[in-house]
Amino acid sequence: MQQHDGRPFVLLVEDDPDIQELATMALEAIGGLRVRACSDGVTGLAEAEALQPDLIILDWRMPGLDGGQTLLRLKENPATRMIPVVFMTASVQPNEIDRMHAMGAVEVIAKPFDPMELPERIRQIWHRSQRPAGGTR
Amino acid sequence: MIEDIQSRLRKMRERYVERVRIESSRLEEIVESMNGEAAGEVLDEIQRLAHGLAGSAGTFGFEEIGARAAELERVAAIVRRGGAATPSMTDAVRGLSTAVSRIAGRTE
Repeated sequence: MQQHDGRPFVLLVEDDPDIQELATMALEAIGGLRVRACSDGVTGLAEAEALQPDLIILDWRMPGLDGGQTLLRLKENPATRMIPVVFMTASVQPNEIDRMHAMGAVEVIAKPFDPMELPERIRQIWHRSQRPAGGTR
Repeated sequence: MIEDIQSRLRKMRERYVERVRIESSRLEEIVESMNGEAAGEVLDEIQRLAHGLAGSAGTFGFEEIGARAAELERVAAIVRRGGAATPSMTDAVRGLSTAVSRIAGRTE
């Protein structure tokens, strides 16, 4: 992961306040990652463009701009389209997961998730999604 | 550091239990006031609350609450589309309340 003040940087877009707090705590305190959290897709789009995170964790079902619509807009924007996106969702039907991958997500994490395992899972997903050396966003 | 993390997790879980109590009570009130008919906005609120619990409860260790909330969400969606659901909305919300009362008994 690229380093910002020595720590990789994750943008978390999650509308449930308790899940947001728990995931942020797990990623920061257990995983040592730097996390910026927001609660809706519109804010997520702005944060992604402005802050250029190393990876985005995106809730699938959110009011307003949902996760799928948010991902499509991330991919439409040259400034954000190369940032790897991971969906988090309680919708784990195979056809829905296939759809998420087809939209461009690098991985889908099912809810419920284990907060103790989430940070390592995110690191592994990032390593798998790394671009070849010399690639640019 | 591990103790600090465990302590923080414990406090989050306690706050989540309180949320579950409040939201399941709210769902009971809504369903009891429906009298068999429900406006779209009422069903939207049921789905919203149920979805929130369904998507979060398991992560805090309350798998049964998550399952009951998911069932209520499913039932509300069917009713929203004009269909007849099994179990009924009343039974689904009672199932959720029963699950909540079980954790209330464990955490008090």
